This record gives sequence, structure tokens and C-alpha cells, in this order.
Amino acid sequence: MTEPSLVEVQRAFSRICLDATPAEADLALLHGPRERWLLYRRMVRSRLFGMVRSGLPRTVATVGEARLDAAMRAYLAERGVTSRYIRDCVQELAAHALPTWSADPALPPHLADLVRYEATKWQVGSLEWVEPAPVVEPFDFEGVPVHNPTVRAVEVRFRVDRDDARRDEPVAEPHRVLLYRRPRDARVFGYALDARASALYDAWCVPERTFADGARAVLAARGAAPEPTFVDALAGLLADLVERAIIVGSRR
Amino acid sequence: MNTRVEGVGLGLRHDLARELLERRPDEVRWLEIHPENYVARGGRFELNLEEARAHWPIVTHGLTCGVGTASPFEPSYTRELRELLEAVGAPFHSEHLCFGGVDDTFLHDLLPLPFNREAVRTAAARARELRDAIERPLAIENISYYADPLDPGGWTEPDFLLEVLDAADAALLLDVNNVYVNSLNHGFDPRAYIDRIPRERVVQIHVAGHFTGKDGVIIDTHGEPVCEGVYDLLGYTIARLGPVPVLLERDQNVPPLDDLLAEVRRLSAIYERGVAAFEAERAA
Repeated sequence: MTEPSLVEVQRAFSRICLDATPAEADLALLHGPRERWLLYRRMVRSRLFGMVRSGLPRTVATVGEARLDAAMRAYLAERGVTSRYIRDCVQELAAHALPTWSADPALPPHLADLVRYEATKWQVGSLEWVEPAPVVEPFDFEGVPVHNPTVRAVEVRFRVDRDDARRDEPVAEPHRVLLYRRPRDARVFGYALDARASALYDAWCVPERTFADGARAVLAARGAAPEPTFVDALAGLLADLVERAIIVGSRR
Repeated sequence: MNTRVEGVGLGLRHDLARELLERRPDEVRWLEIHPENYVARGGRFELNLEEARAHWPIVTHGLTCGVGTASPFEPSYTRELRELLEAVGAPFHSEHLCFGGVDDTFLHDLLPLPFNREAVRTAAARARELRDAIERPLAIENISYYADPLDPGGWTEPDFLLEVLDAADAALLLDVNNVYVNSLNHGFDPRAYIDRIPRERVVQIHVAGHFTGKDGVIIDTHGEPVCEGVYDLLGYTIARLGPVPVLLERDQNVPPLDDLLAEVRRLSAIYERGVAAFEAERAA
């Protein structure tokens, strides 16, 4: 019998590790006791499970071990890990499992929000820091916003971003969460925006538009004059965004 | 700051990084990192590496460019890898004699190669490609393996390893724990294995702990303290090879830093005794 080529061996080995059920033909292709190849299968899968548990702890607690196991089996068999960075399997699994979990009537309605929130939070923790443009001092409302490059927005229907025991209650409260990494200690935080704050933030994300022009654009879109409540809300929002380093400053 | 990679080092692992960087213990002479944890990544890992570089020499040890991989490595990754190695001033880079994926799927484990001529050719070609891409010396590490994918046909593990090193003209990262684990799982004399290693090829040594499964298979987990057998084999190895830097690997079940430092001190004592024996032998 002709000896299999190296790539045939590696493909059979890979299928043994990733298929939902290892094929006898693949096990037969490899020399030695099948228990040893199944040991490799357990080792490969155990490492990936561990990474997903680290990245999606509340999701895993919500869906339970059986659904996680089914989702991992499907993900590994149908797609497998496509990134050389093992940390990326968290987002890959989340994206693969989300349609199935979202369609599962036994799971709570906030589950989809939770998956996207945790997967994005995991991603933000590792994003490369692309050095933003230099800011000028003092902060200038007539300047252009300089953004923290790690900010990612997640639209949610439920308050999965809350920091208290109520975060897993399925209470509908549609809003947007900005997930960002604080530069000084690399910790990841969330900041919730209501509709008005969200409109202002979007206006300040338009390239080359100043803070002042962004605020004017929001007012114009609403057909409203700058009432004191709007000005107070704008000032509070801006102070929060700068203090949290979601916006790191202004430039000319 | 110590600038030379010598004596005993420790892996900069996330679980112990904060305490290690705050205490900066003298007994740890250098640090090893896995580039995959730092390439294309910011955040805590980046901050920790910046801090570590200010105090220790850094050595890099890859996890996903096993040189037995059938397909070539993507140039975009090897370019970023080269930039990282340049940034940390890595004197050389090491990868494993294994494969870790096929057809653009990554298994994120160190999977064994058949001990045959085709695997030698492939490993040597990949090793040369990688060395050229990163523009610095490459060391290849012997792995723990639990079975040979094809009938060995007369080749032993050191036969295969030495063939690859010669064909690739690569250095060796000698994992003493892996030699020990393989000697128990496959029934050979670990000292005879060490005796076959050409001294001039060895640039670094790894030691670690392992775990014995219910079926008696010994698994290289990096999750247990170093055992007496590995300490003994390390002493033998250093006495034969001389002052090769030694890294304590601990990636799972990471204990308090003081426990690891106690292991580092014991390793350092073995290292010093081994070097003294090596020099006495040379002087004789």
C-alpha cells in the first residue's frame, strides 16, 4: 500500500480533530492506537472551548453547556478556526452560533444582545492601538474631534451592558453602547448613549467636521433651537466622552 | 538592565505578568514571549511587553508556524512577525517541529509529523523560508508526541530531528521535558537522546511540568511543577552542553509567583552546577 502524503496525513488529522464525529477512514489512515488520535482531538477542542469560555462567560452561562457544545461542534465541523490568533475563535464562534441561538425559543430574548456585546468587548480588548492624530490644548469646541481608535458601537435592545444584577433581566430598553479601551490601563469599559447622545456622537464621527458644526447639524435635523436642556446635555456628554477618553481631544 | 539571554528565564504569561512586572525578581534573568499574543494586538499585552522590555532581554517562541506545515506561511504574518522581533531585539526566534493546521484552518495545537523523508524536506523548506522572512536565526523545538502518524519505518525521533536540523541548517531549542515525556511514553533512554544532540546547535532549553493521564499516557501540559526526573535530566544536559539559557514554561494552573520563583532558583542551582561540570570536563 502506498504511504499517504504529508498533506493527506495532515488533512486526516485535522478532520479527526474537527469533524462532529471522527471518520473511521481517517483514523485508519494514521498509524498507531486510535485512542492517541482521539486524545489529540480532546486536546484541540479543550483549548478552543477554554478560549470561548474566557471570552463569552455570561453567554456560556446563559446558553448552558449542552448548547455551547452543540455550537462548538457545528462551528468546528463546518468552518474551523480560520485565524492564527486563537483569541479570534471567540468572535468566530459567536458569529457562527448567533443565528441558531437567536432562533431558539427556549433562550431569553436578550441573548443575541449579550453575544454581540461580549464578542465586541473581547475584540476591543485586543484591538491594535492606531495612534490618533495629535490633539491640541486647550480643548477647542471649534476643533475637529480626535477619537479613541478602539471604540466600537453595539446596538442593543436590552441593558446587557449594565454593571449590576439587573443586567440579565430581559427588560427592553433599546440603546447604543460604546465599548472602548482606556489608554492608560487598557481596561475595557462600556458607555451607554440615549438617542440624543447617539445623534451627537454620530455627528462628531463625520470626518473633518468640528464639534460645533456637528452639534448644529443635530439641531438642524431636529428643527430645534439650542435650548438650555440641549446645551446642558451636550456639555455633559462631551465632558463624559473626553474624561473617559472615548474622544481623546480636538485638533485644528 | 541585564541585556544578555543567559541563566534561567520565565515566560511572560498573562496570568502572572502584573506581579512579575511589579516585583521584577532578580532570579528571573530573561523573558520569553509568544509572538501570536502580541502581533496585531494592543491592550494589556502591549503594555506588559513595553514594560518587560525595559527590564529584561526578550526571546520569542512561536506557536503557529510549526515548520512541518504543508502550506507556506502567509507573508503578511511573517512580515509582522519580523517587525515584532526587530522591535524586541530578539536574538533568534524559535518554532516547533510539528504542524498546527492545514488548508487555512488552524488547530492551535502542536501536532506530530511522520518521521519520514517527505516531512524532513517540508520542515527544512519551511524553516528556511521562515528564517529568510524574519531575517534572523531560527531554532526548532522538539515536541512531545503521543503517536507517530505513520509507521516510523526504522527512524527514531532523534533520527528525524537531526535530519531536519541538518537539512534546514537550523538551531535547536531543546525541550528537556519533551525528551523526558517521550522517553516514558515511547520507551527509550532520555540520556541517550541527549547524547546524540550536537552541542553547537543548541541555543535554548525548555523545562516544564507534565501530567499523567488515567491510561498512563504522560501529557506535556505546562500545568504542573517540574518533576525530579526532568531536574535530573536538565543537570545531565547542561553538564554535557554547557551554559545554554533555560526557560521554565508554565502556561496552565499558574501558581503564585513565589512558587515559580522557587522553581527558578532550583533550576538556577542545577544550571550553575551543570556549567561547572561542563567547564571542569573541558579543562580536564
